[in-house]
Amino acid sequence: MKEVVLVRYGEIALKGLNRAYFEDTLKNNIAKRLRKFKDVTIKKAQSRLEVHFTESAQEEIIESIKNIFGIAYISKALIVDSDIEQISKAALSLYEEGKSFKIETRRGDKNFYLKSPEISAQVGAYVLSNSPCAKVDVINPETVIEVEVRKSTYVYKQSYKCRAGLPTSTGGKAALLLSGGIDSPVAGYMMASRGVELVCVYFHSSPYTPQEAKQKVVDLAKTLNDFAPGVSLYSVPFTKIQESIIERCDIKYLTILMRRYMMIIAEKIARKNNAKALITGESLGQVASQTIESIYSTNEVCKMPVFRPLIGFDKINTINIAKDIGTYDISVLTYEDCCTIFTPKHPQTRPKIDLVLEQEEKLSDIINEYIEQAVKDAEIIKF
Amino acid sequence: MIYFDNAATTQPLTEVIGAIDDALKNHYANSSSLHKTGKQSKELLDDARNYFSSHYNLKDGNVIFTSCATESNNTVLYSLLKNYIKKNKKYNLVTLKIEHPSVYNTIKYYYEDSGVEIRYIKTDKNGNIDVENYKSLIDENTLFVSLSCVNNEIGTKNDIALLSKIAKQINPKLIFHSDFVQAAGKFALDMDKTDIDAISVSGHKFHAPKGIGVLLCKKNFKIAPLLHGGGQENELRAGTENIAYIIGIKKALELSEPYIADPSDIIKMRQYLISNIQNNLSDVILNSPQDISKASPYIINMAVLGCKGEVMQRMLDEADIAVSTSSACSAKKRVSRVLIDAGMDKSVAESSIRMSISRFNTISECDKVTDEIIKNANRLRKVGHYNK
Repeated sequence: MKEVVLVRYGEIALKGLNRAYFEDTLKNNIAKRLRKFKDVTIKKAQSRLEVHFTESAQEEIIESIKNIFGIAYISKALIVDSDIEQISKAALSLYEEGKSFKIETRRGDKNFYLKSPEISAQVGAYVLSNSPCAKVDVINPETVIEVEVRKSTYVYKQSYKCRAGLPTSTGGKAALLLSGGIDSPVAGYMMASRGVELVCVYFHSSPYTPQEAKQKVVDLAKTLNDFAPGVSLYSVPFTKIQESIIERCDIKYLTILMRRYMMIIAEKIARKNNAKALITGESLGQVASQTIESIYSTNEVCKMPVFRPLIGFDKINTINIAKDIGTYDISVLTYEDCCTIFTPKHPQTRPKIDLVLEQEEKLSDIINEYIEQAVKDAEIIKF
Repeated sequence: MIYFDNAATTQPLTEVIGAIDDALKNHYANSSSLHKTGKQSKELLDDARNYFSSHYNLKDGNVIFTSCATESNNTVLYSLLKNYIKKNKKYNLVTLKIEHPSVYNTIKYYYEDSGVEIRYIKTDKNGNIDVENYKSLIDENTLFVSLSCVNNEIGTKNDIALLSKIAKQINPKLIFHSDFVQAAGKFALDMDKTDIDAISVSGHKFHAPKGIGVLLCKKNFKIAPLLHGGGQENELRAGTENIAYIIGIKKALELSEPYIADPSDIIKMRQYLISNIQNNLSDVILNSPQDISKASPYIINMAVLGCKGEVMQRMLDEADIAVSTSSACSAKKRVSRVLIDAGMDKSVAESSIRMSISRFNTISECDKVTDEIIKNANRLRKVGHYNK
């Protein structure tokens, strides 16, 4: 009898011929996260991953991996030979005296000589006969002890529901425009749940924005990294471009011009990182820069697909996800960011593209150089 | 690095560090111990205490070494509650809204909902006290007056000798306390010849390290200790005395004496910095009093209109110049409470910075700071209109 952490996955199990690729990727992602535990090994075993350990605490291992995308459930399990006596002993060791219980069996190995109900009955009888106060309750038990008979057998009573989704990087890589707000981390989270590896791009306006504003975004990226290992963050100096827009262009177009240049820079960073798409937290109609006309205008500068997973979301939905994933409390810290420090009184909410281009023309002698410089000077933070 | 943030804290002097180092190595014994080396520590402690008594001419009173001025101020305010306030009697306290948080917030903490009336004296925008208003607030129920000698943000200097005299003329029984933190090591004070009952001092504002403060009070003021234990500091502040830092703060004050006697160089530097900036940059408002008799020359608070103070501070920081937007103790708040409470417009308060100099700053540093402020102001004013 041996203690393991049992990892079960959801959607991956439905994959066909490429299932091994998804499984291996998940295994690697888990292995990277568990690198700090020197005694841990991970084994693939029939649609399951077993995390073996000698010294480390089971709880700490679970805590380290529970948020990783691709995992549907994690259980603290006992692994025993598929032998009814050993299974029964394992179930007894998990049973807490005095509580009503039920044994639930899944027989993955159809060659096992007993059927599932028979296994449950025999194991249950063993527990009953060895615990004076034990009581079976199949309708409303206080404890459910689960038995999974495979090549070996897993016995466990406590499973944690995880976030499922697909393992990070199986969905490719994309650049997330990460502001300090509530929406963009949620957008990143949603795409990451589909296996997308994230390169976060943050624009700072130092010295107009304080150091704390950047720290806030670092904390957000770190939170995303908990779900999707391998997040990196580019902190792009954007002040010079903003000042140039203010000096030379019609201030009404400030927001739309800023966003277009942000998209251009983000796309360049995406290319550098071999990412194939951009992600934004835009939600239609939420603010002036998120009208269809504005989105059309910002979209127009990119060749890559732009994913906007929140586009049809109500703000309340977004807030609920942000709270669930732990980004909300960071996002609501009130430090100014690059989008809030300079704001025209009357922004152009439905910009016409030819007028936008007319404004951009005023920067044509400097902007390419400034954009290249911003990409070059970006600070890269890895998690 | 050009350090213009000496009101927040100062660099400990080499001589002070040396004296502390020596004390840590050679006089580490507990001053309450009965052995020879303990007695030596006791002598050094008494020597420092006597020095402070004589420096402030405190003839009959207590010199209590504390951990900081916040502790000194808290001790004073707690003592009122513990030893003076009786049930069913009417009291009022008179103070300023623009006091340091360790006075302002502590008064609010102890007295806001206690039935004791807190009366705030009117000031003008430069922090100068309206003396007529001050007189009108003091009456027979006034238990306590607390006025800083120098305001830590604006640099306004109150004539506490005169103000304490006025207060006691109206009500001789009241207790007059002064937060002397921004004045210690810079201005002289004769406690015996004035009506001031207690002052709070902090070492790190005059080139001693952080972690050492003093509370000086006349015998008539009954202290209630905040800390209880071994009965140190004449039963007024328990805890083993920090001999090394006490020697350090004494040394720092000794070394400040020539500058207390002759502040002319600092005054020149202040005037130079102010006129240099005002002569070369438009729309600069001096928040500190212009008149040097009403201002500490060490603190210069000015608003560069159209430029957010916090952005200016970060820009100067990038050029290795350290200034503040408000008190370091309240720097996390975006706009200075003190400037707003002094009656300044929000836009002026938001565009204010505090430059606080020491005897170690130079005229050429003032030139560099001026140049940087002008350069940044020009940059900020170009976009300032849209910078919310």
